[in-house]
Amino acid sequence: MSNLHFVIQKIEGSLELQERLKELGFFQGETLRLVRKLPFYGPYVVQTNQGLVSLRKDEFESLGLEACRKETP
Amino acid sequence: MRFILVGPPNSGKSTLYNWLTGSLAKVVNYPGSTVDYMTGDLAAHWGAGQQVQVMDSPGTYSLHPKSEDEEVTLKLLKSTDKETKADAVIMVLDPTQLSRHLVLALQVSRLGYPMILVITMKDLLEKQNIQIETEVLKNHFGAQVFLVDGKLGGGLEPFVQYLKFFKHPDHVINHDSLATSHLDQEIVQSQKLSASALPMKEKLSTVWDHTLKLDSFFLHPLLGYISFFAIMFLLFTSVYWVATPLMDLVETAFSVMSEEVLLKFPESQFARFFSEGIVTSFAAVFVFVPQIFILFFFLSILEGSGYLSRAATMIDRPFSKIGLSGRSFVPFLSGYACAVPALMATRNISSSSEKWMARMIIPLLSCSARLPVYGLLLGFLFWKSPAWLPGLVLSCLYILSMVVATLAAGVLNRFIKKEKTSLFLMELPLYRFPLIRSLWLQAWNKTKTFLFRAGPVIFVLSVFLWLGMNYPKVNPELSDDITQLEYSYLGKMGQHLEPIFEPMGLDWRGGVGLIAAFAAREVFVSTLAVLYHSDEQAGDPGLIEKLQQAKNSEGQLIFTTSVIWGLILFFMIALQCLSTVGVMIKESQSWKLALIQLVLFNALAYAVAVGLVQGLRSLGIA
Repeated sequence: MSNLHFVIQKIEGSLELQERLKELGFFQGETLRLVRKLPFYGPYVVQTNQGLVSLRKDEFESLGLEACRKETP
Repeated sequence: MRFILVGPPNSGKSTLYNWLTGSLAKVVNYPGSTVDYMTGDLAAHWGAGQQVQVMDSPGTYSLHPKSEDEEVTLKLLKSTDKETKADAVIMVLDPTQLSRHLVLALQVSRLGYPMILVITMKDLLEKQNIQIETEVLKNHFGAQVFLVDGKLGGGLEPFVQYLKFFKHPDHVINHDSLATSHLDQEIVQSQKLSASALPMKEKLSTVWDHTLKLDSFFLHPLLGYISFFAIMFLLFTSVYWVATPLMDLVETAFSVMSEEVLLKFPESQFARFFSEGIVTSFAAVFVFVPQIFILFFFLSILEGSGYLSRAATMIDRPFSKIGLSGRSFVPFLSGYACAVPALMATRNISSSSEKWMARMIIPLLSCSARLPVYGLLLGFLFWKSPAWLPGLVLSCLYILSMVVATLAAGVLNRFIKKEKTSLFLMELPLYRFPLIRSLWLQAWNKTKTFLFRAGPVIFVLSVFLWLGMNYPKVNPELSDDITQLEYSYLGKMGQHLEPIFEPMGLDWRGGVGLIAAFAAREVFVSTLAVLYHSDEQAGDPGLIEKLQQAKNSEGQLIFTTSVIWGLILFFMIALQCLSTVGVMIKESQSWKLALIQLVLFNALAYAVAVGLVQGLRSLGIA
């Protein structure tokens, strides 16, 4: 299980994607934790203050993230 | 007074709807389970008051829909039609995700509806000793706030009393509010509101601890996939081995009934009709009811636990290779129960090309109506084998149907013009223990639907088949049962059709069975039971023995290994369900597409079955 923490700096991508990300709790300034990367370029599982979400690599990359701390599991 | 339940996916709307109306709407623990609206009256046990009607709407994250099911909710909220226009909104909110759920509440309140706020998971809040400042929400929305426990119904009484005497001023829907809605501003507002209403929200983060622990296993790069296949394997094999003792019971009951009737009225023509026509037909199909119940029961466990979203996550990458996404997995799994709700579940797929493709291939998945057919054919192939062996093969057949559907998707993917990349983004809900009562009711409800759907068709067909087989009468002193059958109306009709089914290795009776299966697949079994009827014992083993001995006009055995495998493949591919065709027309809004699907699948099924039978025979396999 990964334990990387990030702060969302900005949200990019299509308008539909941006809106859906925001509706799922990916707000600018929110912290998220990367919980798991599935193998073979599969979805990423992230935890926000609003719950757990899985999203594809390109969806994850549309989030402008800044690492805020790294912890060992 | 009509209330509409509105809320984000998986916030507990359908659970609340069931409590209020006493209905058995499907409640599952993954986002996007409700794809259409339902209406019900407040259940009588809640007592007298004004007439209350409740509408359950599909979950939506905002009033800016991105899929068909979300559009349904928006249309309902904007409706001025007297059949669907709501007087007030019951806004359902999950406290563990209050901040973003309030975004939707803000948008709905700007529409101008009178509102009532219901916060679910009261039990969880009490367990964690978390207070919600309901006054903050009450003052902001000008609405009464109730806390309810969807699992056990705690907190419902005052809420229902409030609904029964709810009065509201006249309101006008402000359609312009959507045009001026600004998501970023609403997010800031909802965050402030959530911070005031839920000052102890940090405590809520601990509710995810057990879910994260379970996910470290179920989403593990290796163990996750192993457990995924193990769960699917257990699901489909258990259908066989758990059900076997129950099937024996059903079969014995029908057998005794049939024998008793013939013993009591040995000379009666009606007793013969009842025993050989009606009881034999029903026994042949209803013996599979335990299997169907168990399939639905185990599917309900998966749906209620929260595992399906994880399975969808794991399957997303392989599915993306054939133009689908993990979001198609849930409709796919539903397709193993029945193609009708599965086709409707595709509404929450945002990409229209992906939705089209999912709708095209869902009928290929082995639904519960195929189960009696597989049960009979595998019972024939593995006669007197231990139950685990046909169970294992049944599991392989389910996987094979997924492989066939995947291959079909791969082919379609090459020809479809994709308009945009579909969004995957999927919420992973908390794992929950589904209530046994709820599992039992859901499985029983589905099984009842199967019985009520198949029952009348079996009855009508068995009457026609029995009459068709027994009339016109041949002099009994000059002929035996076989001669009677050949000279009957059905026999003559079947003999004309025999050349079509002969390449599949079937005689005219098997052909009639295949035609009858277009009324409902399971009717194939009851039709064979009547046409190759076993008079000493009704039910499955008697039928299998009869099939093992059945010979064609040239004296050769009909049901050989190659013919049985041909039939299995035919049923796996053929589209023989009129309900599926009807829903396909409705969902795709295209007669043409449904017709193409019907002709294509049945032609392909016939060609594959003939190819397999002839191919195996040329290899020396009878």
